Amino acid sequence: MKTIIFFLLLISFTSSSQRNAGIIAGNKDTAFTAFTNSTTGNITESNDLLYVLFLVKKFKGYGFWLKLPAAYPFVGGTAAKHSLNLRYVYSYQITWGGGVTHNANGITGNGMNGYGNTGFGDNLLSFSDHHLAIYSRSNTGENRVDMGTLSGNRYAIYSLDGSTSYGVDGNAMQDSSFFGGTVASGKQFVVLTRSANNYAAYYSNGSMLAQRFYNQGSIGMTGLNMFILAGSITVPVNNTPALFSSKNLAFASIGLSLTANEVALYNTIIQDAQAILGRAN
Amino acid sequence: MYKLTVEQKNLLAGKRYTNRSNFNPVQDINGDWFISKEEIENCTRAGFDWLDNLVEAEFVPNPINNTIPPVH
Repeated sequence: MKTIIFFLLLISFTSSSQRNAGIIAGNKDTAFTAFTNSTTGNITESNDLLYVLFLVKKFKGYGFWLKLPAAYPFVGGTAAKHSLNLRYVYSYQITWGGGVTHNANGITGNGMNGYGNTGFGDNLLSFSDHHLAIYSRSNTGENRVDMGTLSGNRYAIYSLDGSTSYGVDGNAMQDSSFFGGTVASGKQFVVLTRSANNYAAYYSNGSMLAQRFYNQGSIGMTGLNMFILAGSITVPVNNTPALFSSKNLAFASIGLSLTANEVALYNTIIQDAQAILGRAN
Repeated sequence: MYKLTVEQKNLLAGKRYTNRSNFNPVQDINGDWFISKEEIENCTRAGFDWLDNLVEAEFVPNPINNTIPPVH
């Protein structure tokens, strides 16, 4: 009996794997190949390949590709594979620091010294046209930074805890630069987007949590790098990490601003993609 | 977290423990230096055998570095 069950499981597994291989073989893409065949990446597991292919096809098919100069799928389970940028592979490749756990669930900070430096300076995007996004699999109650930069006069970060979720976007000296709302769970796909000097919005799982209409005017960018699982600060030196997060993240992106409809679609794509790997919330 | 002397901290600063991960010694509220267990357990580079002799100790985060302004 045990032998029969094992055999049936083997057939089931093989069929799924073969099915994935067929889908992948029939839909190859140069960006997909560049990412999965990279020396550092070398993605080989069939579900991992399907996940990457799904993201590439959806991003290109729905017009997200050009809006995402940095997209981190966190696939493959190692620090090296999780460092790669889907859009440009080795550009804005993440350098990890301190204690970050890498496994099939993505990346997890230790809340004390673990973070990732994307090398993506906040001055690479216009203040009036940018977004940050993370897929959090944690409902951790902590006031920490999950992604972004912090400086004397410029914030562009995510921060969330178990019951409230909020972003910081704009002049740090203005209290209203913090905006967000109550969420059912910290397990969410969060998008912070700014499309004008006087408009920023914060989304959780595709739904808007808050908007901010304050006119920031012209704010100079600091050139600090966007960090993941922490925020970058200028003290004692530029690109020092602070406010370390302990969350488990399965995806992150940095890019141009997104409309409400685009955020809703982006959420669907990322949720469906995570389901391929069995790590959707 | 595992406590370091200042000399040990200087040996780790800016060094990699895997091909994509750097050590990140951090100071706690008492001014003592620490690294995490993840850095020790995942270190694949030669010359860091002495990490196995580090002693686990209480790490008290510096509140200045871990406080975010409240939501208004």
